[in-house]
Amino acid sequence: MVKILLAAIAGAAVAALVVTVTTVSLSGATATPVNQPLYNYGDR
Amino acid sequence: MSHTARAGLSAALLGLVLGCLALGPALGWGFTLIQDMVFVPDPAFSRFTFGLAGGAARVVPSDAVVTALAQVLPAELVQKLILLAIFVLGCSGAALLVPSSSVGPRLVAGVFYVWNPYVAERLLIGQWALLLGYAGLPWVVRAVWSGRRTALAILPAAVGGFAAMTVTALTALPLAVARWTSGNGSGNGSGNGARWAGPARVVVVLAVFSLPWLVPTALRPEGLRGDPVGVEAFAARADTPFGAVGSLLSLGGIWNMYAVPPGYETVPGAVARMLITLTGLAFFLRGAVAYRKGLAAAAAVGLGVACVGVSEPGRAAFRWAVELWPGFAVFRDAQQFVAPLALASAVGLGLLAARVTGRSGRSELSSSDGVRGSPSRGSRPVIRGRGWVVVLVLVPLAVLPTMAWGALGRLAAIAYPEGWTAAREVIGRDPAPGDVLVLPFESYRRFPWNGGRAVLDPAQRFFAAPGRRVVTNDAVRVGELLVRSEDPRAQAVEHVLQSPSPDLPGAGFRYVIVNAGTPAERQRFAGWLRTATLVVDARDLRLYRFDGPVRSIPPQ
Repeated sequence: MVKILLAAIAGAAVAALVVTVTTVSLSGATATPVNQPLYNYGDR
Repeated sequence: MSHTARAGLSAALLGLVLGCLALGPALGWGFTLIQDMVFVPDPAFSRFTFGLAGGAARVVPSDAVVTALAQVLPAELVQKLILLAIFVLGCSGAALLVPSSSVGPRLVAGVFYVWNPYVAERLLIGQWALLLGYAGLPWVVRAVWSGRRTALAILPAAVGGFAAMTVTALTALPLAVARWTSGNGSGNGSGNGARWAGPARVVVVLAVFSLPWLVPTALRPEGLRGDPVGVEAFAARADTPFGAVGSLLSLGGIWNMYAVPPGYETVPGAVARMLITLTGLAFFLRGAVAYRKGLAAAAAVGLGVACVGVSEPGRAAFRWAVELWPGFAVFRDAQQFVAPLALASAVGLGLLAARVTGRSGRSELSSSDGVRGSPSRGSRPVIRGRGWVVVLVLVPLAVLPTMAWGALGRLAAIAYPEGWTAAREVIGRDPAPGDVLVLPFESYRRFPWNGGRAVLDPAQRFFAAPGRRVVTNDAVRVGELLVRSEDPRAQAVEHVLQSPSPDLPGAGFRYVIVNAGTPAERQRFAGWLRTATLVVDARDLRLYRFDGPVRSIPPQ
């Protein structure tokens, strides 16, 4: 049971890594979020 | 060297490595300026430093500690040491909470505690003082449970101030009560008086360490004006497909959509983060750690507080509370209270790793009723696999890879422009009385020289000088919402600036700094400042001086 859980965690982690890196590579990571209003603390 | 010391040292070194990896370019020479994270070169003590000017005393005593340290070390270095200390303290503290005779499971807990959405989001919103309290949380658990060195353990939170102390109190108090109601904390068991001495000591330490911000708040109650609009603005939000509650359970859910690492929105990433957090939580709840009930209660209360603001009735309750007493405004940004949940999950993952290696240990942090669920107890099959422990150490990094390298450049080190330094020298040399006004009268900026990152205007701290008040606006814009100013002086200035030709010397200002603004705003300011002398005209900043008499405004 624990082995299955560990395998699921490892698989989910690898999938997350691949998809996140691919997404960021394709969309282009920016140092600052774009279209942020001039004087805003942030946005929801 | 004892096993515990060796494990603590290993985890501290790993925390240092993770800190370097997470901060990346922010460790270059210069200052990291992002959102609420504001450090300035050669900071000076001022009334603002001690919470005696401005709004609520949120920067007390963190600003005073930084200013004091910057008297002996370059302020750039002070900032980097504090940020790295968060990772070192957090990783080693969480590691030492895992009762294991092997270092590996402890490292699993340490890595997850400092590499998760909570740390990433709070780092990107610049709340280093809160993170200092977060890093000290495992040490607080250890100290409260053992009844030793409680004051030392709470010290990082005490430096952090208001928010850090609130999160720490939320964790320490349930633990103290659980410890002493379990009957283990009464020392010699000499009755109810001794039994409650432990929680009483924790309460006293929390109260004494809160005095630095409690005293200025009591002296200036007018600075404590929480705007109920903030409840709407700062409530937790959904930053995963699982809604706001699901996001909080994954240790995310910060209100600010810009304070998340790049690529955070992917579904596999959200699923993986939820899976490891819940797995950690499940193993913690089944685990054999002595402080389980206390930390579980703290995690439940923290999650509950964070969840209140995600529903309209909950927000209405918070609004009512803030109107009743503005101090309740600390609960507006309630996502910060999932910190004990992060710690419980981290320890749970460590327990999972200990089970995998069959190396659950016995220590003062193991429960006295045996090691529940541990394969070392008897008939359960022991799954030996140090390889799995290595996997569990790497999993937090894999599910949040873009937290690395300063969230791919979101954090960086920059130098303040020369114009700022020149203006500070001019103001510092001038013996004539009068305050400094900073325009545009907005609290946050996106300076081109800071890569366009949103940051709280550093002018308040940069131009601080004895006897001179630097007035900036502390009203906050969140989307279309405006959280009104808490500072009575800023409110008065706001009123003055509504005039087509404001009388700035009459409002107490000798100097006016213009450090941002659209062309239209700059044109309007030039009209206001026709009678002033342009003293510094740099690309990034203009400094104007009124040469005539200036009205004296007494401190409020």
